[in-house]
Amino acid sequence: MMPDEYLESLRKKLKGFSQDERAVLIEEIGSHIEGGEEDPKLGKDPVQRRQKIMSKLDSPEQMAKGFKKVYQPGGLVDYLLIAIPFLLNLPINLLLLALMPIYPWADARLVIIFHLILLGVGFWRRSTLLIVFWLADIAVQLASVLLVAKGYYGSLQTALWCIVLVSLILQLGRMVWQNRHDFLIVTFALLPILMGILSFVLELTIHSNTYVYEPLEIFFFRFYLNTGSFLWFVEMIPLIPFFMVRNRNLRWLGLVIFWLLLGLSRDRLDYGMIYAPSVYYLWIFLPIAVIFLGWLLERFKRRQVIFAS
Amino acid sequence: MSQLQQVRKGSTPLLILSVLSAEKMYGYQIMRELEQRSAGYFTMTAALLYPALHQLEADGLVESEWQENPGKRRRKYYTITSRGRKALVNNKAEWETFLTNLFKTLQPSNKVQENEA
Repeated sequence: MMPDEYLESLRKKLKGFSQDERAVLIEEIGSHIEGGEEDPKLGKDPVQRRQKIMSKLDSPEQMAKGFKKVYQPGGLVDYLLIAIPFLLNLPINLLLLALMPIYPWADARLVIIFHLILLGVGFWRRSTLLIVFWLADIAVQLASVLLVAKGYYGSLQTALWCIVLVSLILQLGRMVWQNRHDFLIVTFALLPILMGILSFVLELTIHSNTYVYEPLEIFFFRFYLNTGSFLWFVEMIPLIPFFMVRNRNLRWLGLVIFWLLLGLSRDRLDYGMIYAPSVYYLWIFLPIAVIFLGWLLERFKRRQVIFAS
Repeated sequence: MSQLQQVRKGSTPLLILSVLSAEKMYGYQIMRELEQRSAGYFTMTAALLYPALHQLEADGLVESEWQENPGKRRRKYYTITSRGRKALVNNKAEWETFLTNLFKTLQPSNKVQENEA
């Protein structure tokens, strides 16, 4: 097979990769073939050199299979290890509310411990997606619990939880640094932390009882009242492509829909609560903006690689 | 795949990290260097090498950068990271332990030798 035929065949076999991703992989294998064609150690005759290098490639099918294995996202098991506990959050919280009068220890800490076990499973499976999801989720949960508790658990236990929180944040930082070349993972890991911090700041600074609601805000509030509980049950569906599809554009799309549903399905526009409309808007529009920025940066980076050739 | 082939395939990340610990290289160079160091014993096909390189990059053990090659295709050069160096040391130690114990076990013991005598 001639180099061009090989590369064309490889391009076709890389199903599931975007055009840009294929171009980058083809570029690398093309440069490998070129390296062999220029290598005098493979013989004096250029035809002979080409034959030698082509014989050391393996078939395009084999090559594509290797790349697919590397870029296969988390998969079904990882997805279920996030989706099932996520959906169980609501009934578990209701159960804990019912148990708390009898068993004072049955509170959010139990949920955090359960999620810490899932984080351990993530490390055991060496699944980056699972690890970063639970690191970010537990960090946000734990920070909220500690802020609400205000030392209720006693100084020793509060100190221990604070150590756990700092460890989680450090570990998340390490994972983000390790995966800094992958904007999709970085966005997936940091968005919960960003939203948690911003929500907290806004909830402290905005008081809804002094706020006059505008018609659009009332529309959003009604939208939430009508769809909130339904969205709770469907919001994990968009994460299916994120975990199981190789095409990165589809994965970005899955992530943005997930966050949109997450924003729409929360009671952040509740009258009389500390939440204010701006917090609700923030939860809807900011994640979209951040994900769009991540997607654009990734495209820009990839274009740079393609057009520089 | 034979057991020996499986072992050889399992040693791919170690071999790549070892080659990259000396200097940054692009894919073809890595392949050539491996062949030279092993006097042709470790011949790696591109279909084994490149996915392994991409996996090492995904694991944060190597980093890559594209470099211009005037008039030709650009080359993607790989560099070992500090995490990769640590992994190399650990991995090497594991292989040494494995091989030492393997050969120790394969050696006939004195008792067996005496009996045979």
